[in-house]
Amino acid sequence: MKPFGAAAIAAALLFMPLAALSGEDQQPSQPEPPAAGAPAESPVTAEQTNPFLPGEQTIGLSVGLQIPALMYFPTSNTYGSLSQLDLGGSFSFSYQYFIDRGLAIGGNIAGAFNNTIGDLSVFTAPLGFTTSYWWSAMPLEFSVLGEVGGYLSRYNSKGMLGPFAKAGGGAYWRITSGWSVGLQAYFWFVPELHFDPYTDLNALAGYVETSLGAVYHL
Amino acid sequence: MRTTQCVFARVFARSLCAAAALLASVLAASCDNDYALYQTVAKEPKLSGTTVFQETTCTNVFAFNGNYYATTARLYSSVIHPYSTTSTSWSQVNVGGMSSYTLRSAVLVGSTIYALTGDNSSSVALYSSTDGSAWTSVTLPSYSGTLGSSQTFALDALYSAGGNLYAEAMLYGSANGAVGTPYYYLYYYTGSGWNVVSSFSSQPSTPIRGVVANSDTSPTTFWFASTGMLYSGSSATGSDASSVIGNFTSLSGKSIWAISYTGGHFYVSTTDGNLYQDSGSAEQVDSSSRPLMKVISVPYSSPSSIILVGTDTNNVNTAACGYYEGTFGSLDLGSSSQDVANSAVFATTVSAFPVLNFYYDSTNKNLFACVAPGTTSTSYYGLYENTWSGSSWTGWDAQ
Repeated sequence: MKPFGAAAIAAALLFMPLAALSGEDQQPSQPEPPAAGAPAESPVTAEQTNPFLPGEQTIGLSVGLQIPALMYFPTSNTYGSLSQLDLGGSFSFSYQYFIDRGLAIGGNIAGAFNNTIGDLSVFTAPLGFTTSYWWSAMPLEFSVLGEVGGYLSRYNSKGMLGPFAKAGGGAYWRITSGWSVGLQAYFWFVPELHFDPYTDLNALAGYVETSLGAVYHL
Repeated sequence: MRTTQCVFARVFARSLCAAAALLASVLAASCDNDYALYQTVAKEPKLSGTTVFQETTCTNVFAFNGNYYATTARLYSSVIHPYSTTSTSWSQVNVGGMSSYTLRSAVLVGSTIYALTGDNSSSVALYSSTDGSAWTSVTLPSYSGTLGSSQTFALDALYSAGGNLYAEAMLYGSANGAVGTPYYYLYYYTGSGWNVVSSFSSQPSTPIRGVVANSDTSPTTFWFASTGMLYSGSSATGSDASSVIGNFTSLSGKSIWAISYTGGHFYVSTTDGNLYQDSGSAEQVDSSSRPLMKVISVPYSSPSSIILVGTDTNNVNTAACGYYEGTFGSLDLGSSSQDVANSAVFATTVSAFPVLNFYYDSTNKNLFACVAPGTTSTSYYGLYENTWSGSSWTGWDAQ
């Protein structure tokens, strides 16, 4: 993988553990022992203090940058130069429903474009189902998210569709009771798969989305 | 609150399903299984055009004396070069020793370049050069009658055919000062003076559309065309020419936009998207009735040659769309996956623009497309080059 692409992916993946550490720092690592003579209390776990309760819902909007991160051709075992694609833009709209404390499922529709070195444009529009985990260290909120689905790409008047996967997360500031805003970073995995007899055209592409997100808590 | 959440969930779920259905239908209709998207992206060349042709219309290219010459509002030259993704250098030619001039037309006749300059009818001048650097003034034809006070008479285009120089002159305005019908004269250059080509039975009131011959060195057939007239004969002066417009099915009454001789055939292109071959047959090439430009034959793998014909805009309801390619009778719109444009960047080169002219240098296997790129983007250029490798075309690249 090209250094730039690897760095971008690494940045996206490193983002979440740091955020998780930040959130966990707010919780005591061990429950305080009860005072002598006081009645014993059940330990307070992080799960129990998670404010995202089952049944809650969020909608999210984002706009950001789309960074080319991977262009690999398995048939020839070669990598395409990422400089063939310019820095692009992305947007998304998502919905999540909490099925357990901190755990949400939902859907996401997005679009992203990157201009090419020859003044064309690659447009990718994924649609997928998401699973995410949220926790809070008020006023900060954090999430990690995985998404699987499909995508449509358009380039040079040609169309392509295929499976799609996305992973990453975000850190948000709860600015009001309803709204949180923050930064997100996701890696988009965009495999270009062809049926026989064109399997030699297969490619694995990837992008890093770094975006500004707004989440509304219903 | 809970009710609101349920309503929103239902609305979102339905929206998601609708979006999924829409996306699925779009996907099913738009998936190109045989097209390598990212492999094509990885091979894209960077357009490397120079400012000389940036947003500038080019009308003609020819090779002479080790250089390519290209015509815009000036004449430019560049050392003969193949397709390259690196920037190519073009230098202005100071026609007649002038660094500032307006070029009306330039052609190569045998081993002499003729260049017609002039901002307006009163400043028209004609120069010739046998080396591209030293220029000699050429006497202009004069109107045989008496010009009225408001009438103008001036050359506005040059043609090269059969090793001869031809020039179109326009007589504009009426003798009494009122706006009248313009008349067009086609002149033949004898080497020392000018004679009016006598082929046309009446003086055309529509522009000359070209003069072509079946050979540059030993021509036996000449064709002369104005918008509504088409004559053919064996004399370069048109003295024995006769109308051949009736030889073509339904050509009579149509507007001729260009004539050409290439690959052993004469072609007539009309403003309504039809192409006629000297066999007498016709093909409705453009279903949207875009005017067709000159035809050129270029090498190809199978068959061994194909023809290209550019499109113009009819200024009414259609924009130009690049060019058509293939064999006569089965021409298809050029695209990135078609015959000549083996390049991902077709869409940002000659596609969707008027392709006014082609020039193929058979010695060096280089093909040029002269384009009117408009002024909407500095990424668009007026001249593109493509090189035949012996088995395929390299793809268009800006000059």
